[in-house]
Amino acid sequence: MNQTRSALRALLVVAWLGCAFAAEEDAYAPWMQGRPHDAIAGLQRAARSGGGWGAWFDCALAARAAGDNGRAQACLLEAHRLAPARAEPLAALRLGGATIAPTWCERAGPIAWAGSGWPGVAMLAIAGACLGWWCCSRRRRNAIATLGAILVTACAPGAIAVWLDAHAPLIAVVRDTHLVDSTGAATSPVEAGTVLTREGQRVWNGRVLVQAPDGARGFVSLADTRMED
Amino acid sequence: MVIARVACRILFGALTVIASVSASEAHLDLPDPLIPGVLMEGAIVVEQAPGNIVSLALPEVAGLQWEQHGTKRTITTVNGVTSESFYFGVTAAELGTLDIPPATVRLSDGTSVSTAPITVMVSHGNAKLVGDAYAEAVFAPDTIVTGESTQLTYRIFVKPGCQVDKGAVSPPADAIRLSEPNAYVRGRSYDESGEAWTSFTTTWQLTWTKPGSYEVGGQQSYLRIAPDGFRRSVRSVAVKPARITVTPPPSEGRPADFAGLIGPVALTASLERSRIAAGEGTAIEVALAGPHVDLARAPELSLPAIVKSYQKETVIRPGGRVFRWDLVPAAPGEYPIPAISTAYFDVASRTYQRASSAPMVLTVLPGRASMLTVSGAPMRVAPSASQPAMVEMLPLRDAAQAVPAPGIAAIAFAVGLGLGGAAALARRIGPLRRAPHRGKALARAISARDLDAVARAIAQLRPELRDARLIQVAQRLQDAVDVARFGHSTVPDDIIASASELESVP
Repeated sequence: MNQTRSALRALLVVAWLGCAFAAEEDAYAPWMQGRPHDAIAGLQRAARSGGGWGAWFDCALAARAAGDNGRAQACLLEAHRLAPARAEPLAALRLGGATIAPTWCERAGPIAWAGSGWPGVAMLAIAGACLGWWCCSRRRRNAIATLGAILVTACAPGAIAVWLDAHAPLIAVVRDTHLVDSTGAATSPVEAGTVLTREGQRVWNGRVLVQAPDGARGFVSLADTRMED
Repeated sequence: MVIARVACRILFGALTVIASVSASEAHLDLPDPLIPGVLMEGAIVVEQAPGNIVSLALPEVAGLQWEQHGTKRTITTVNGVTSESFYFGVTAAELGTLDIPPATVRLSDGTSVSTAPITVMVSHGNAKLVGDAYAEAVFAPDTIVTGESTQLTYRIFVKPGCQVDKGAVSPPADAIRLSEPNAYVRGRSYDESGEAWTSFTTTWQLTWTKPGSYEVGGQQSYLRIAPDGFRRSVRSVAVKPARITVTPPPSEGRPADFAGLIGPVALTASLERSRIAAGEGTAIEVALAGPHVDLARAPELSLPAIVKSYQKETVIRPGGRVFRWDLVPAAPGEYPIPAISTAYFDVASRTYQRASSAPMVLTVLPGRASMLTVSGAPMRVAPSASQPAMVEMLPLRDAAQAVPAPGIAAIAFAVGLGLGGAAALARRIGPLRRAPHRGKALARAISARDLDAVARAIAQLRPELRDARLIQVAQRLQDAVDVARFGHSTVPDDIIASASELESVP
């Protein structure tokens, strides 16, 4: 009886493992088989479900390999927003034809290092603890306040640069479209993959006011900036 | 000399008269369609007339009755072209088509102008035109396969006295627009009573990549102006919705290489140079033409193994897409390039078809080899700036270094600030200690026969006593302890026994 039960348990474990391996599909597989277009949907799903900047970056490379520059630039912009201090998304964006002015992280250079990654998070947490202790303790020790101030000063440029770059008003066009004026008349064509600068957050009739790299201003349809699944 | 001058004047005058007469043009402007039994307004318009309209001779047409009002006429000048309109009434008797011969207009300078013969339809008015306004959206065709184009037409009709500011309908968000939106075209339509309505029409060319059913509709607002011109009100009318069904292409007979391309498609292929020398390369160009090739993928090349192909950028042209490959043969020879083809779904026949090119031959001639002498110091070759390569851009897979989300730093600082402050405050307040139990302290002092401790315990206990009997017990105990302390005697046992009641006091 015991042997039968053990055998059933082993069978159950094997079946469960088989199901688990079968269910896990590799989103990169079609790409490695020379079909990057078929890999885009899976990679995009993975990126949307919290894959991080690396997942968006890979999705962008797949889209570029498939000739979909509009989607590639939009994915790279998403990767850049998630990791403004990383150079890879920016470099790929510029290789894709985007005209992007030097970002705050690039301008700050090594000054931004301290506040841009996990060390910056830890240092700012310590700085906050030091300053909180200094404010609320009975005997205020200047050494603690000085340590907190030094850490804040060291981390602030990087943290602020990351925040500013993450909230840069950039928007990528995923398909060929036109800038239109306020009457809806087309003014100038915009190629897929062009990175535009958004002017304000106001949305009117499904369009937002943008400025093209050549300086032309106009409205672009938000539908032309959204990626399909 | 004089004779010549007079001849020139005559010639000039004659040319002026001929030019003015030849520029005159008249046309009959009738409602289309005419509503049977309804008196409608028509006009005859004369452009660039050398004189005013004196009389009008309208032709006799069976089933058509003219009524000349006689007085209503307008003269307009647009871009230097003056036109005079003469209005009259017209009533058609029954449904059908009427051929109207030329009408003649006599002008005040004695000349006359004739209109061209026209054909008008007599039919019922648009029964949908009731109320103040009517709006409808229509898909044509209303059933397509993914990738096939359809036309969305949106029409707004308003009665005289109503105005439309802007259209309320736009294509669904998930539709792919194949063309720019057209401007609204103004037109005229007639209701069943023969009243003229103004129409505004626009169209979009759309397609979908996902199967499903999609609907377009909404509320169209318009401005209604009272006949006195002062009272205005904004009203709205429901747009008659349009629905389209998008189905996937049929699975029966679907070729293995079908990638969603919708036909008709024409495919042509050409070699940049069909005869090259060894060591040289050439390019092959495959052009797809058709209304839906914007969604086409590059066709597969079947080349001999010795010829390597490198795909270049795709060129998009209006109504076409061109795929290019660089071809690099490794050795001289004659290399047949088989026909290149791509599968597509033909919407006309609802079947899968294949567009193919003609086969080609690439001839690689043997080249002459020569020695190449290289001298000088080695130097590093800088990457070309004009063509940035994607060499270093490899997929990261799971190797991407995790980075904190923007804003985490601020949260960490705030959390640290709160924790530091809380820790300092906790230290400042100090640990919470329980006050000693006074009743038990008294019991311990009594059992130890320590009269000083008993006196201290009673002194701490008494402020807490509320019961009169317990106060009395405590007082008796204190008196006895005082006597015992200063008289060097002992506390009576009955008093000690009664003190047990005080042990429960906290």
